[in-house]
Amino acid sequence: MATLHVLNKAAAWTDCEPLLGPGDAVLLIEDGVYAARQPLSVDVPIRALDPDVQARGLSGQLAPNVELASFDDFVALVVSHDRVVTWSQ
Amino acid sequence: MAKRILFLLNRAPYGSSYALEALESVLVAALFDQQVSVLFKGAGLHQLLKGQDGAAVGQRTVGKMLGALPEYGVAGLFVCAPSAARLGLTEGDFCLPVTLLDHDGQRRIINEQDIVTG
Amino acid sequence: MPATDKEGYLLDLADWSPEVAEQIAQREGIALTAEHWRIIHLLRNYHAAHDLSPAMRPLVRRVRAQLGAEKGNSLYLLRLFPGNPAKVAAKIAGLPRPTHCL
Repeated sequence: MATLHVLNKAAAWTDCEPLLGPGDAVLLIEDGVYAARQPLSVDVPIRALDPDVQARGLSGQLAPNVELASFDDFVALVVSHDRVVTWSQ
Repeated sequence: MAKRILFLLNRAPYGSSYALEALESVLVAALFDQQVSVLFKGAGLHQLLKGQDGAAVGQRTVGKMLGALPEYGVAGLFVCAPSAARLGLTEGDFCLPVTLLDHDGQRRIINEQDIVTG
Repeated sequence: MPATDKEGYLLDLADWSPEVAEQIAQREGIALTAEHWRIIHLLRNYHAAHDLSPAMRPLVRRVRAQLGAEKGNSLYLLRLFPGNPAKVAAKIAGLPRPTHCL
């Protein structure tokens, strides 16, 4: 029963992080990508939407465990999870 | 086929229209015969405080409106226990009977949903 | 008669009085009886408690809980307030238009 957690604000990380479970994944979009400027030490895969990263001048500056995602990856992530939780703050 | 929908309510009332708009969505979802529950987190817990009077700022009183949820068929009223602890709030501060959930409990109810929405 | 919107709902809820209710009812073609008044009072109490004009289903539930099953059903309310009971009764009770009426 895996959940994709989508964050569109960095501050939402505090709400989301304690609720991450096995099989879950995190996708940072819009201002959510700023969350990846700090180390994010969790066991689940973390992706950041590349266009939003580029727009904010954060390319190459994200935590090492954060992978970039394209819009196609975004769709694939949504499809491969049972549900999507959007965290906004 | 009814969907299980959980609304995450994490905004304080009155400072913006977010809390009221989210609450309207909850009411509509319940009227469409969906299995609706709500989870108050963070600043959203302030929506539950007793003694609110929105009229003082020309707005509707969110705390009073929340009292209508059971009759609209919203069965699950959950509160993030760590948020409550951080804000120094206990069940006695709330205008409705709610179920406090720790992080494990919240993960469990999220995993029971078809849709989780902010 | 105090000011109303084009659907006939009072613009200022404070303008309501039993006399105003009679006038609004007349416009709706309804002659108020004791049965109507029970629902009107129930609605006004509901609004005072919840800052909300109830949609049909919660209204039926509340009527059933307070006045019993023979009144707590849509047929009874439709007989008293033909058309759309949640809207018509709210209008006569001086409440805002129910926003979630399907």
